Amino acid sequence: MIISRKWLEEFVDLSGITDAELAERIGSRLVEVEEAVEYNGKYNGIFVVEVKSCEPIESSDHLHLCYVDDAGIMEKYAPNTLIARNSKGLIPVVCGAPNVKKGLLAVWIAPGATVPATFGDKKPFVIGAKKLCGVQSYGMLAAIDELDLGPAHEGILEVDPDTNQNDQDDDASLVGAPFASVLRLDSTLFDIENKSLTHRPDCFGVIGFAREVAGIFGKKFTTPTYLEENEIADKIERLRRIDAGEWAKIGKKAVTSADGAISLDVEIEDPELCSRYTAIILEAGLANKTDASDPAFTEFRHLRQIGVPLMLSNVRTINPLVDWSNYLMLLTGQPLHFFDYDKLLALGGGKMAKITVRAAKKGEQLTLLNHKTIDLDPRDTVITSSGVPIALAGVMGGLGTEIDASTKRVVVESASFNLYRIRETSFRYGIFSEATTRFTKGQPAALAEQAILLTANSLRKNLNFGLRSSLAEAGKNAKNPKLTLRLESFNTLLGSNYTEGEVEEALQNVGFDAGWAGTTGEASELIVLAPYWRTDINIAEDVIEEVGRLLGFDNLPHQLPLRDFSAPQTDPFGQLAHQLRDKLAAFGANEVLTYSFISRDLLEKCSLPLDDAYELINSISPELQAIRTRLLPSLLSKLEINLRDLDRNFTLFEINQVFNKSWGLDSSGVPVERQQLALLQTNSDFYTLKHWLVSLLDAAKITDFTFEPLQDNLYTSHSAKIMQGGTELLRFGQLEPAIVARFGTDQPVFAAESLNLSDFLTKVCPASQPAKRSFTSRFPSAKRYISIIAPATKSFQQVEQTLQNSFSTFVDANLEWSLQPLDIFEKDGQKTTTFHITLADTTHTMSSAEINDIMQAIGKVCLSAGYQTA
Amino acid sequence: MDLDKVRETLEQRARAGDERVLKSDIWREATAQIMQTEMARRAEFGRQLNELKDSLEQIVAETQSTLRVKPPTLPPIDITAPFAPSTQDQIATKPTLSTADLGSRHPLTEEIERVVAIYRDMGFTAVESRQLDDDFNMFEALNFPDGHPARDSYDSFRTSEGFIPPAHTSTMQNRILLAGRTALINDNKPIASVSYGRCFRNEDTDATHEHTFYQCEGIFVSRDANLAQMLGVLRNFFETYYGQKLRIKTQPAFFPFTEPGLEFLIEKPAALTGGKSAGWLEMLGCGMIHPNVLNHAGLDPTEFRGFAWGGGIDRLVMLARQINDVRVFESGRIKALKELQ
Repeated sequence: MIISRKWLEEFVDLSGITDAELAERIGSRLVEVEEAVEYNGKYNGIFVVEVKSCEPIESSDHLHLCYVDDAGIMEKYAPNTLIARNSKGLIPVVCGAPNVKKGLLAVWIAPGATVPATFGDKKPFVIGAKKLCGVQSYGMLAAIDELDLGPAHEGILEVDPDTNQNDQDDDASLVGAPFASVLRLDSTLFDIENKSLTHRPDCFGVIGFAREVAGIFGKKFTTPTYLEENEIADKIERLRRIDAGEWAKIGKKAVTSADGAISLDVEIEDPELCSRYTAIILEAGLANKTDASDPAFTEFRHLRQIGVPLMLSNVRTINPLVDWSNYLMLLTGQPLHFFDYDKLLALGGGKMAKITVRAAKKGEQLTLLNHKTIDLDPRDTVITSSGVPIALAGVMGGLGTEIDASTKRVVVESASFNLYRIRETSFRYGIFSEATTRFTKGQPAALAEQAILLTANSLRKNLNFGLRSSLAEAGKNAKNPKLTLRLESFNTLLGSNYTEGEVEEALQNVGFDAGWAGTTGEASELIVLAPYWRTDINIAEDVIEEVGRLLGFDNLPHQLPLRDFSAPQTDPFGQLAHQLRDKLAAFGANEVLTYSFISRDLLEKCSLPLDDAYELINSISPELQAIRTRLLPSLLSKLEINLRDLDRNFTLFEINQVFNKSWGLDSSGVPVERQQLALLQTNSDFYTLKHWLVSLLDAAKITDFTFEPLQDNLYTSHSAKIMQGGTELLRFGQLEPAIVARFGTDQPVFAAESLNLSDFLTKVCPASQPAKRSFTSRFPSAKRYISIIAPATKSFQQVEQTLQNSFSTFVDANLEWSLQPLDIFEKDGQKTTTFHITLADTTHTMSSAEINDIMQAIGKVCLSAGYQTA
Repeated sequence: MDLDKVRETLEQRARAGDERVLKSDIWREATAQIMQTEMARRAEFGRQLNELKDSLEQIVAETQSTLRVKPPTLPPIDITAPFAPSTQDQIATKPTLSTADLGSRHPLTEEIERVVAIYRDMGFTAVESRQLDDDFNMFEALNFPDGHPARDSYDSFRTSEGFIPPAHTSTMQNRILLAGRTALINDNKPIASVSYGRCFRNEDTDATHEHTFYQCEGIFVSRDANLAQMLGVLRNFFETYYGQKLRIKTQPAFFPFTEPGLEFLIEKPAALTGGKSAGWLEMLGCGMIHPNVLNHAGLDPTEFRGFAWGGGIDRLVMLARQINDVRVFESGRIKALKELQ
């Protein structure tokens, strides 16, 4: 949303406040200012001048030589510009416009200035001095298109001499005044981040915004009286009677009733769709006595009054009626819609206008102003004329009742619709406009009638429209709740130190009805009633925010919460993940993060079931459509790029969440979440990867695990799972070459996965229980080797287990021991496994005899298990 | 594109067991090539493509049938052994952890750990945020009525079941409040917790926008929490984080789950500006927890008050490491990620 400083200044005094200060204060107390754009100088060197004389040039059929008075401004503005003034100090300018004449106030583009229509072009047209038909001419008198303020037509722009160019100083002369300031084109523009104002419909009108600006500078704001009218139906009725007399005088016959009124009936079928609907009929052509102005200045006045504000707000000017409806919307925040009354009547087929607001029906169609015909949805709200849809309420009017050049009578609609429905409809058809922006903020119902009276008055005064109907209305205005707060409520929630007076003043400045009741001090209560334009003040906290904001959150002291010294609970999984990540990185692995969203194709490539994956209905692309069910495929998809990037072996890993439909929902009804670890290793082998994982489990203080064969289509037979107490902790091994090949390489690739990493937590030795130490004895330990010869079909684990069991046959409490595998040698179907045995006794230094006894006993046990020892 | 090269690559892949070579990018690129081929050569190029296609289909069929009959045989191994056995012909080497090449941590998870550690030192517990949640936690419990326009600005994804990959870590707020509720009510123990993790927004990715990003969120609820405390906590955090005293400021902001709601800014710390003073940084959104949010968790807002905040982690990392393209984070490219270290 663009807010023009000069427009704001029509409502709030900002003298002495720089643009930077204004932006800073708005930013800290109202809404983020994305950018403050200073006036770019587009109209520099362009002034209002008076045509003092105007004579036709004989050698031309249309050119005139004019002498214009610039009130000497060029001497100040550009003293070095050479201009041959005449003896009276006037400047010769040749002009070909048909409307140029003596006495005219015109817009003069001085030599050296850029024609605004070419401003910013690659080759802007800079006006100079030149001879035309042998006559020296300086600069040019400008037409509206040259000034880039409207479409081209005959003649130069005529400046209204009655223009009050400086609102404080009526006598300031227009002659020599910079054109930009006369039209208020030289305003700084503030680009407002309106996403932060979704709860403030009032700030989507300049008046509302100005009110806030006053409030944050601690100034009392006076809301224009036209927004605080009451008994609006009566006031409109009085105007209608006055106009009825005028219509009669100029011979416009009665239409429906004796005094020329047209009957207009409005109805809301479902209050859920529309809380308030007001409408009036206006007709063009009423001679306007209050503002009899020279039609020559209509264009200039329209431009100055509403054209420039619209343009600066990035709203296109279209025709006077539409421009007024847009202008009044930007001013008040209330969107208005104008229907062509005669078309509306014809479409409805009735003799009198009957407007009904209702839900659209299935099968109904409507052609909109953008010439698109839509099939209406029963969730849409439509405006109908005697049952026939003529507008998509709050979103876009119908083409059938469009205002055009021949429109004489208009129905003005000012209403408040259900913001959620408007939003839904606007998304359904992809229609976003200044009006939907405002309707979807939920502008207050009470604003509808304020705005319709303002519209009636504005069109009467400026476009010679007269009233033809009474106010037609349906629905009712909402009332804001009366809230009661204690001073303590403010200061405890904010940590502030406000006084009663400060709070009261802050609220009153922006139109709240607020006053302290009861005795000053603790018993005193603030009774607050928010003005009708605030729809966001419903609870005490809303009032507290309001005061904190207006007085500046940045003025609050900074404190720290007072609390006990209890240490926070740890985040066990977070700590585990942290530890594993650090360890793996220390081992030489590289952590990556990959998207949670993957393609169905990736699942297919890994032969994983597609049906297990949750799918997005609004994914960015098919590449990001499924929520991954397993981490490994994501890492595989990064294999090729890393093989290309790196000229060495690498290990990739990731710890992240996955979801799988087959796991169902948890007790709170959301999909079961699992944390996984996945790791990919190039140029590795089974035992190297196993060594990594055993080291990792050691680091995580997980012991007593075993290795079991793995059945997983992603892996070859060189794979295993690591089990503890019936739970799988990890699976690992060489991946199937056929699957790896789908990821662009034929080299062996190894992987490891924890499919449910949280299981680690239940397997970790608790910190309170110290890890078992093998040796506590203070006496020297003894070392022996033992080789066990077994059939090659026996696994290492079986052999080791036999050896371990042998200790239990003779162990006495004082003996401590450990085993360390040293070598495995296979030959002729036999496997020789050599261990390093360390022995110690906690009571004495062991003798050779004792040690030999033990070794013999071990040998016996092994033998009975069928193994030779050496 | 050299068709011989394509042939070589794809045939090799097909022989290795890839039955999807005709769905590969390389094949797709090759077939797309036909449109760029000049008219005169098109027929010939098409013929060559067809020939290659037939040949690939044949190799795939052959390879797959062999695979089905006889999966690639690897010599049996003893999975329980700590290392491979030696034989007469070969002495097996024992595996070691190679530390010759230093591994690397991902900058985002590292940063999260650092941020969480500071909050933990300040007395906050931590919990990871969910990556798939429901409408209740993402919106409703946070005082976003159904159809509220404020939902639009979150551009959230949705699954066909109506679940939402959360667009903010605030999706954990209701759970955190419920978890701390009893201790707060019975023992007056304030709820002090941060949630961190991955969030998602449906927006096109470019150098400064990512549909996947990381946030860290904090909540504090007690009987006397106030906005001044929130400003104190946040300033304290950033001062510890940047290791210097900092000026802060706020901007009013609207979040349905806060009242009042603010944007929190810090002055650019010296570490990022080379000591020069250079304006403000928008760090996070924050505010006093809306009474409706407390009500949703069964906490009486007349008895308890709280504040909450949430901000992006990616931005902290990008600022600190002068990264100007956010896309590197989820690229999965070791080389690029290691350069950020």
